[in-house]
Amino acid sequence: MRGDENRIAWMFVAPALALYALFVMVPLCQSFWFSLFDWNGYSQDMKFTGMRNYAALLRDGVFWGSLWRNIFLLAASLVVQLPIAIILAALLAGPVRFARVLRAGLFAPMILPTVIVALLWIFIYDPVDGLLNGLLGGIGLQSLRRGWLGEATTALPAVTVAVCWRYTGFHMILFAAGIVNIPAETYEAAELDGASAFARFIHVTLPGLYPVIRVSALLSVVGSMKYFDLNYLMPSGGAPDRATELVATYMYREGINADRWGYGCAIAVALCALTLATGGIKLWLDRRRSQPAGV
Amino acid sequence: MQNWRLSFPTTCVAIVMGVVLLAGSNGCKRKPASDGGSIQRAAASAKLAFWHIQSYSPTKEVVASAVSRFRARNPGVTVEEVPLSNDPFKQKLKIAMGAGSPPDVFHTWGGGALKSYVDAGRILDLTPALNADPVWRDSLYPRALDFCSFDGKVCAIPTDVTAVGLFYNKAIFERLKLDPPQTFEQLMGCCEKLKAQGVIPFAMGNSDKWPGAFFFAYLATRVGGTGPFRMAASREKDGSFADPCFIRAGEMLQRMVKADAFPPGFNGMNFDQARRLFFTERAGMILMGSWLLAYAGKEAPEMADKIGCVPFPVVENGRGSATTVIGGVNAGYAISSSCANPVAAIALLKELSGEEAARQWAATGRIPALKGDIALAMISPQSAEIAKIVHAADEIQLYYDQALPPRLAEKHKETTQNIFALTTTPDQAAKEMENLALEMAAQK
Repeated sequence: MRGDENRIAWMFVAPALALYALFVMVPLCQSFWFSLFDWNGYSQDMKFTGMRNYAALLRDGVFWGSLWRNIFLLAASLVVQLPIAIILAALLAGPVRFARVLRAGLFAPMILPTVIVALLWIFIYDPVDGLLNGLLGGIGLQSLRRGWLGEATTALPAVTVAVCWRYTGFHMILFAAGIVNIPAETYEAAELDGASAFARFIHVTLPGLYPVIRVSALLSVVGSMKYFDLNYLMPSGGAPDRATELVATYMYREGINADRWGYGCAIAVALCALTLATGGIKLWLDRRRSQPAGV
Repeated sequence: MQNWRLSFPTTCVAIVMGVVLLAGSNGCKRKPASDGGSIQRAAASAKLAFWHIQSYSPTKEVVASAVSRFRARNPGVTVEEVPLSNDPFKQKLKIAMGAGSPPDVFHTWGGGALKSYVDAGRILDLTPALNADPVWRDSLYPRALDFCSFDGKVCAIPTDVTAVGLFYNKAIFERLKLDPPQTFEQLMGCCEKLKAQGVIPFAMGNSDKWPGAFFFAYLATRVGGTGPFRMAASREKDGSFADPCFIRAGEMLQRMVKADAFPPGFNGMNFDQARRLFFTERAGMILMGSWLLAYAGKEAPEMADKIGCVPFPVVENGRGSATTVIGGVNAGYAISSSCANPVAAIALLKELSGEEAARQWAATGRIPALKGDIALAMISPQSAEIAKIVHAADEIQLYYDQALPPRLAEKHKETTQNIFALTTTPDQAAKEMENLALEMAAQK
């Protein structure tokens, strides 16, 4: 009986597994294979170089710089994006007028095509006609006006703001769903005990959201490690000193633009390993933290 | 049986996709039929996959009408036309080449990227076909052909050329009683005066990196001629990217940046943003390729009479000629060596590069890649100035990033942008280029 059940289970899983193998595992193995070559992607002579691409990667300052910027993005998404998303979700869960409209509005950046988001923020940051510089000029802060995306010091924070803007709404929706699942009695009990709205947020909402926070944080961690889109598009072509380069955009520029397919594949494999590792560390920390309380 | 119903379609999809992948990876490995003789009717039931990047009006229609003329003359041949946009095209072509199933006929800009495919043995040599049809051969613009030729072999047929000119707003210059600059010092003077009147001297969007590279290539060419770059790129006769002309060009650029010749934050702006500054008359000049005029016609028709064009200024004590122009091939077409119907493919190239197509190209504001007298006769009035500059040039220096192999080209654009951002010194940038060139030469 169990054997039969097992077989049926496998038959259900098999098609998905086959597709997964074909579109994820095979390309991954292929990438690793190509990363062992000095190859431009199309010529007939592929020079086998073993682990030389990886040795070069370890000595590549641009790679480490890009990784550092990924970590910056990761920190920003955990420290800026998630708290804002939680606060927004909590506020909109209360008796707010037009809560649904506001929620939809805040979620909108997530549905917009990435290219549109990039165009929007490029306009906001435009040094001459942009909204941001216009606003700064309007309130008498002319000295703060900048070429936001064109300066090596401001380009990364500027793009990161756009990235957070885009994904905050997504996490807000997750938290809003989490808040709905917190039993209303808990709030009632807290209210009877005389807990203020703030105290209820700290002592009821936050602990109740803990499982969702874990999921959100995991998505943020993995998402920031492999992030590509807006950093590739803003500014198009890249800021001076590779100020907005991430590991994924560097992989693309090396593999596709600079004709170093093998090296690009090595970056891809490293990126994959790094993303798995950070995701793994995050899960391990979660598990360790939840053990004493979990029982 | 429940599970069977569920998995059957998915399994089918998986199988079909697997088969497609396999078929794709070993398809079309046949050697091209040797074709020395004249072009005859292509074999019946032949098929040509044709990838190009003219995906917008009006150039889209130019290609489409060439293809329909070809279809009318070669009824047995099906042309599978695939218009793509720029970046996806580059990416798709590279992957198709790697997989061994490139399209039969495809767009190219000539230069280093085409040469990499030639070196990889992926491109059909067109010299025999050209020699077999001297009328066709002699109608083409030889300098444009040079950008598509390697070791004496023609590897693509150019259809239109582009050149970089110094475009300026005649109305603003008249109002401020300025003359378009002829020397670099005059250019600096112009910038000074424009700025004093609240006009941005140069519109520039350098986040894409190539606009700044135009300045660098022009200054280096005016300072040292075309020799240093040619020798550095080919690694002959001690050529070096650390040649004084590249360093001096970098220093002049930084002088311009420090004099605020460009709008604030120009390194983070793109071509769209820069163009807007010029078309809305807030910037007095823009150093741009001839395609600027096509944009002007579409986006700011009222500017048509106001845009003037002069050759890039000369540099005091420079060794370069005053008429050398930075330019290149805007569109050319190559045939892959795995094409099963080279005869038909060559007939398509003739249709794309023939006079009928050229006249339509010219009508869109482009400069057709035909011999001077033929091209100048059909050129549209708005492009007349730049076309004359091109045909009066003693030499055309191909855009540096197109002349170089991709990896060096990327480095060139990156270091030049850093020069503009003042985050590196011209000396350091030159050394970085030279070091990479040495490293790549050592790997060969």
